[in-house]
Amino acid sequence: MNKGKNLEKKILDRVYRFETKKTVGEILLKGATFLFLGFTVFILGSIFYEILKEQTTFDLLEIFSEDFEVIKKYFFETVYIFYLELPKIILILLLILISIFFYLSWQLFKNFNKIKNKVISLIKFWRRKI
Amino acid sequence: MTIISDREIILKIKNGEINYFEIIVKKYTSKIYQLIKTKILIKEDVEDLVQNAFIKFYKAINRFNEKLPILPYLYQIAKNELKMYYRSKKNFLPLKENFKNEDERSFFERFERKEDYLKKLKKEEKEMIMMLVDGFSYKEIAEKFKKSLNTVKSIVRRARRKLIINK
Repeated sequence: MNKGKNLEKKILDRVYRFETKKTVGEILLKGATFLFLGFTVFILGSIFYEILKEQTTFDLLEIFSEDFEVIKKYFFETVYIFYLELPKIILILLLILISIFFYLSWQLFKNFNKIKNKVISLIKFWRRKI
Repeated sequence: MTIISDREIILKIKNGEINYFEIIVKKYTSKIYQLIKTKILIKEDVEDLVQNAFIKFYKAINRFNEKLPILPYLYQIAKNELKMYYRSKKNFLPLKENFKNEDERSFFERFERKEDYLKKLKKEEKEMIMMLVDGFSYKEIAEKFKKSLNTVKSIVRRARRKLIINK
């Protein structure tokens, strides 16, 4: 009977070791990815803002302080000029990174319970061992 | 104490509650151990293969269909582990091997060239034996063929006699 218990214990040890490595690895990787994405989006966003500021592109937004008739008359022209002045490559990069960020956030939200349950199970197991 | 089904256990493990895997280990370790013990004499190797089988099952658990029974799947993994073990040791399963605690499953697996012998059996006998080798219980076989348990056992016994005569 003891032999059977020992073997079961060995199996569970291996399973929990495997799962610990996997879960910790995933958490670290996802954490690093989030940090990297957040940092990159912040840097690119700052560069994007500085370029628009230097080009005085934000002055185009002053049209919205004019009368409605003026806005109506020059709206599409203003939007077109705004579009021409946008740093497009940086904008595309920003949009891609923000999309990835939101996708990963959604994945995290979807799997939150699963990750939480795993971490709780692992903590309980290792506490029993200690 | 609430009895939890294998299906519910698998669903809980897929949901991250990996402590439920302990129930599967406690329930099936002895069966997998018995299967492998009839094929390998070295105790340490038997234990290693049993551990490997459960680790592989755990790693595949997210792909496992919880509606299916666990034991046949575990048996298949254990048999694959045995094949890899034999390949690594370059061992062959001998025809005349003295098995300890020989059961029906290990009897039918003894035949190296199974197909030649199984051709002498009727279709129903052959199907039942294949299910037995795959790890299904007599009860599950009886349910599938819509026969009584005793009838299934008689058919398997008859098939066994035929295989012994024709060996």
